[in-house]
Amino acid sequence: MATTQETQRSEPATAEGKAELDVFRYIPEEDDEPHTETYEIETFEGMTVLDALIKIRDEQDSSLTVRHSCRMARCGSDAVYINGTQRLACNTQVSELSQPIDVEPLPRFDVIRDLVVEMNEFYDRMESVEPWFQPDHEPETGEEYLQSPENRKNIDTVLDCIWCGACTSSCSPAATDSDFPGPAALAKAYRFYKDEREGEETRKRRLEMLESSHGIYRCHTQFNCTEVCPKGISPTEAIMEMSRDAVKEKLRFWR
Amino acid sequence: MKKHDVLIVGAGGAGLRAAVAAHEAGADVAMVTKLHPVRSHTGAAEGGINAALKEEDDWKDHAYDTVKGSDYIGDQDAIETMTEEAPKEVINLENMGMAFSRDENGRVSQRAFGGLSFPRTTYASDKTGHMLLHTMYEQVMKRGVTVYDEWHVTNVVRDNGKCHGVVAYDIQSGEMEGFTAGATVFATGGMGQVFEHTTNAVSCTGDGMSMAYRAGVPMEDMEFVQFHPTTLPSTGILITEGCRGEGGILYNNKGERFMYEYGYAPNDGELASRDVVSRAELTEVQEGRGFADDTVHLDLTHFGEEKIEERLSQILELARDFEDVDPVTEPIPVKPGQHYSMGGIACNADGETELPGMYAVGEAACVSVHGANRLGGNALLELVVFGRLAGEHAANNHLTNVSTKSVEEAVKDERARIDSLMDGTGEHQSEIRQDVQDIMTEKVNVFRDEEGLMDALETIHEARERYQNVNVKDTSHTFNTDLTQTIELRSILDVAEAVTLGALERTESRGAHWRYENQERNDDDWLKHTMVYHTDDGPTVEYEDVEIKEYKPKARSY
Amino acid sequence: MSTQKPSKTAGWNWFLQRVTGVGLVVLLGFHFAVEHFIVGAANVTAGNTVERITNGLIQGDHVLGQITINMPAFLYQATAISLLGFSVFHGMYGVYNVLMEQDTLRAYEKPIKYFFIVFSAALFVQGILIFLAFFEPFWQVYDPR
Repeated sequence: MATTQETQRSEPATAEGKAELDVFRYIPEEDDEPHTETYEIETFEGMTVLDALIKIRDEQDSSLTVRHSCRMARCGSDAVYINGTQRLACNTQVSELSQPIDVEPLPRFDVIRDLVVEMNEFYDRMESVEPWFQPDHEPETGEEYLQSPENRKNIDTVLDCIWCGACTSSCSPAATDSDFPGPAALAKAYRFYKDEREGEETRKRRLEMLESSHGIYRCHTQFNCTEVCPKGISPTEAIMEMSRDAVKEKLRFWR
Repeated sequence: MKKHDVLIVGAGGAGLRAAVAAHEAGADVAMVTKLHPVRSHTGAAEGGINAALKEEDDWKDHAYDTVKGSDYIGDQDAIETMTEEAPKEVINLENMGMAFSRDENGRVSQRAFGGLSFPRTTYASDKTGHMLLHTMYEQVMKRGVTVYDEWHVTNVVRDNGKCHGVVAYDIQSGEMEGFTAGATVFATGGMGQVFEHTTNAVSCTGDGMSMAYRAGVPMEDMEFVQFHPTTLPSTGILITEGCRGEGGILYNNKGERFMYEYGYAPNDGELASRDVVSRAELTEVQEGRGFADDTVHLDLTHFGEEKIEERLSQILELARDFEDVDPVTEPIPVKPGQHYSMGGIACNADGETELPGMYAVGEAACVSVHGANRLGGNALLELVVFGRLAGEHAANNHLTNVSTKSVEEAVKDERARIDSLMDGTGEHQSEIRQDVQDIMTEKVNVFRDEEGLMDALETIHEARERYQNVNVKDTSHTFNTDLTQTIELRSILDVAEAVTLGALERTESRGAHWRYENQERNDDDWLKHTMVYHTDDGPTVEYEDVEIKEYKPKARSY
Repeated sequence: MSTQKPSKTAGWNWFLQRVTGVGLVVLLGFHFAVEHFIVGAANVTAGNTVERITNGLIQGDHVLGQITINMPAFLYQATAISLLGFSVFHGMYGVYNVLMEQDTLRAYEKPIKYFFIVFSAALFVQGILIFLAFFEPFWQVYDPR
């Protein structure tokens, strides 16, 4: 779970089973400007921020809108900005947050309405790294490709990406440079890059593709992405590994 | 107006597989889905996908296990198709890049699972659904298939005895649009939100089932609802059967391994089929041997941290994050929760329904391969086997004489209907939904009795009346989830009614359906499929024979 | 990304940025050590600066702090030139990077690139000229009068 970087505020939540949420609201037809609405609710043990938002929506203000589906940190729909950090609403406990709880849409994404952001640019970035299996040979067994358990383990964490967008929202170069794929897309590229089943030819071609002028080298190694990823993925390390590999291949020239 | 040869409604595992198959068969195929594909609930599946891959294994054994699991009302020809195609389809998944877990020889690993005579559940740690979903979406991206993302299909266009396409609502803009297609494939998933305590996502509202039903296609075997034995008590979140497959043990409050101790499953114990285990757990609770909140304990503490981290890393996180329990050192409290619908839109093994031009596939469909109870690992299998068959069939046999005009008319009607929802002055959808969910969980659960079922039906009928005047408070056209949830509520009502009615009519106990008044299986009267049809006066129930081939029904025990 | 062409220089630049980065840590560290601990900030004069550049660090000829060090002239000169080169590259490439990452400046990518190449070269040349000015043969060229 990501660590939180909350701004220091008043006492923690659930004093007497209550919580106060300051939620970003914006309905394009009705509002000229975004504004913040304050909601007070009663909490229960184990209440998550998503639970809180749903409770507000069902009991107080049915216009409050947030994408959500699985409630178990698997679908990636409900990435939002809570007390200054990108988090998934469904796996953030209200009781661990300082009050009042600030809930905003993901920064650096266009807002469609309330906590719902435009995700198409994010999806385009993912697609831009050719995130599909491209083996350069037939399976050795005639059935499945062989893959050592070690190699499978190497990509285990990065396979867990749920496309929530938290990392890309926290990334500076991704914010200003739309040609830069961003941490999620590059981590996805890494997932294939490290998968030995694709073969050496594909690996080389993928690396070359990522070495474009707005590719892997644009990473500032801020590690913001690593801090906010709800699945514990470190896109920074993935990107650095590919960068080092690329440079090593260039240097090999001289050896 | 959008026009395609084949239109896939729903972009989960089955829909994506159908899209890939239709595309490979050369059709102009597009997908329309209310959630972006990677948000689909297929991603929450954990345990694995069954296939007789090993030399020592035989797909006929897998077929027999499935027939027995179905308590003999699975259609055996379709089951054999599924288990025979399984090895090819699973290897195909791997060849498309799916990252299965591996053994020391670099081959895909398989493990034991409930109700199976051989460990044939191929898995990808405990995130098999996630891996499958992403792999299939990658294949769709690779092929450049058009996906109309965040479009909520609200109705089927039925005219002149065939299906011409669908009408959908653009969630972002509030526009309604017609989609004309020679073949429409419903891959809309399950209906867990009919219940309060479910593993299912909020989006699983049985939309496709309800739409097909209102278009004249029956819902089949709806009373067979699977309650998964190991869900977390606070949230209903799924704890995979894989825990038991790897050796997890169920205990009651006396520290007894009750599956064996009280003879619920003297041979298979924890790995009996899910209906047997769920009933066992609740019986233990009812007889005073359970823990708080109607739970029993699932113990993995003997695994050691390494094994859990390697093979069950997701449930490690889930138990810690959502139940504040550490499976390495403590047993996990679990109880049965709604998980899967064996029933669905009646169709054949190619996905064809009674309505020409309409197909159904995946959890939304009922072929039937799961009969009265589904084996773990067979759902993901169903998605890819029948996804492919339906996609291919739709591509090669789609209607060529569908009418854009019929779809245009339907768009006007739907626009009026949706707009009228905004005029209501009654209750908010969340209140009606909660009441239906509560009554279903209370009375149409693992153990059912006549009175409870009739109470439930009454509540559902009342809910329908309340729905006539439902009040959508949010008047915006931009991402109005108040409205979309109100639209979904109609699906929930239709499905809840079909489930309860089927359960009331079926006076026997079979598979996941258990009646207090009729606790034995009754093959003489009930070896048949329930078909619930929509009429203007309410649902009517008919019955159809089960396809029995070489596996004759016999007593079922684990 | 797959629509972008691979870049031949991007990898080298990235690598050099890191090499110069590490290099700067060392060189700046050395520079600060010389100015503050070996010579002592209060003791620096134009005269002894010229001596350091032309003769290196020689024990005894300087007012020393706690640390004594010997460094032949060519080595000291090498650190000075390296410091010049590394700073120009690292600083200029760093700023260039930030500008390159702005969508709003994408249309000016080529002009900005050429500007930085020219400007960096100019900075480096200016630095070399200043360096050369420490040596007697060049005093004629730079007659301050």
